[in-house]
Amino acid sequence: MSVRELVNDVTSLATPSIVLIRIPDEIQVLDAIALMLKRLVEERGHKALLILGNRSAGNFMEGLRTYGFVIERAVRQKKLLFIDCLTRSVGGPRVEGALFVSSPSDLSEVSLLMERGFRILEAKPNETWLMIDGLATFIIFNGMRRVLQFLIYTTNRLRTRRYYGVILYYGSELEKQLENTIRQYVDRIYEV
Amino acid sequence: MGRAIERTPTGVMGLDEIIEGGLIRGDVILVAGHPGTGKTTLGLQFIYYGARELGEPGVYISVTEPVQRIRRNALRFGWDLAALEDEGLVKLVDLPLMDVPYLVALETGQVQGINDIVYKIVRPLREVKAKRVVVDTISALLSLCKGEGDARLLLLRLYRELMMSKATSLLLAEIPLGTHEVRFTAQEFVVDGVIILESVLEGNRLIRRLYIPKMRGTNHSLDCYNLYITEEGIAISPMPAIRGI
Repeated sequence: MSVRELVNDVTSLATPSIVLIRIPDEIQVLDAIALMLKRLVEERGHKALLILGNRSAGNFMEGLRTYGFVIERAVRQKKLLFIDCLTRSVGGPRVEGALFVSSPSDLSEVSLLMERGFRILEAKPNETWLMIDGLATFIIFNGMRRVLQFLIYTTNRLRTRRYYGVILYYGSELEKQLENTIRQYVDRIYEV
Repeated sequence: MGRAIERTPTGVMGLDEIIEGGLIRGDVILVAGHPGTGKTTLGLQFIYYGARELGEPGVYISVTEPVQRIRRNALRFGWDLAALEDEGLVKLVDLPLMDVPYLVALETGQVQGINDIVYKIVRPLREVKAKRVVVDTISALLSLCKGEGDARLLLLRLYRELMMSKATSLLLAEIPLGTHEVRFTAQEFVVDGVIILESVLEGNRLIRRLYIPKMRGTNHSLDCYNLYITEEGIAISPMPAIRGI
């Protein structure tokens, strides 16, 4: 499946669902997220909260801008927010439109900022999306068991609120056991 | 259908969700924790939230720290206590029981120990018709008692007076670092609920945690949660922590 087909399919889901997307490389991850955000946030006015484990929010925003996405407007309109899990631990600059976790090893804090993020966005059922990128980083800092606990907690939280969930991962970054377990908690699985 | 139990929301993000929406109105709760785990912040947040968001008068009794410093530290979270004091919604009370003159008076019998201490706490409650009370700390009060018998008596008298005032009360208590015990375990039996704040080393990071071993009349969570002191005050992680991982 191509990135474009993936985006068409995911953004056409009729009811709030949790999807797992296996994607071959980082460039296509940015491709997929940028196209999804353009359609969901810019065209439909949905809200999106992005958890970033692999790169800082500032760096990710730069990438998004190359797709013509106007981040500042979306942030101002409370339609887009990032949770940056790297900047505070490496001492990088902070940017508007992001909440900063002290360390990728603290998934409890990620879950706390997720709640805060949904509150800031004034999240509503059927039009709110949570996207998670960077499972590899979380696994390195927390181990499989804790990451699984986080994902199970998060997917259940999304379902009870009728929010959409998108979990992206690279082909090689998940161990088989983790992949098999996560599969049990999602509604659809895509491979690009 | 019976009447629902009236609850007092704490205003602490994540906490009310695990205690059925808040503390039972009129209950006396012990909040015991290691140094630096946010007991005072939690107490102030409880008073500030009640006054600011719900219009409930609150009294904060400080036994060890001057109230000027408490006002100043609260501003860090954007809590303007002085403004609420002007509106008559908050009363910060300096209880200088640890001052040398008071200790001398206590020792020489010039003041009537337990009765005097309880009176000093209860009087301001009546003045503002408080619906929320924080005593910071009960450990300091108990240290004035000569023995465990006196300490129990003080606790029982205080509990009774607070209960009769119908205010929801938090008694803050110190747990020394490296231990898991409040000095007088009797506190845990007298009060209606116990909230424990602890700091633990996880790998090379110090983590603050909260758990609730006891909360009468409440189907509370038995999980342990990470606690954060954020720019908005205390917040509890919605996802339970795993001990030892």
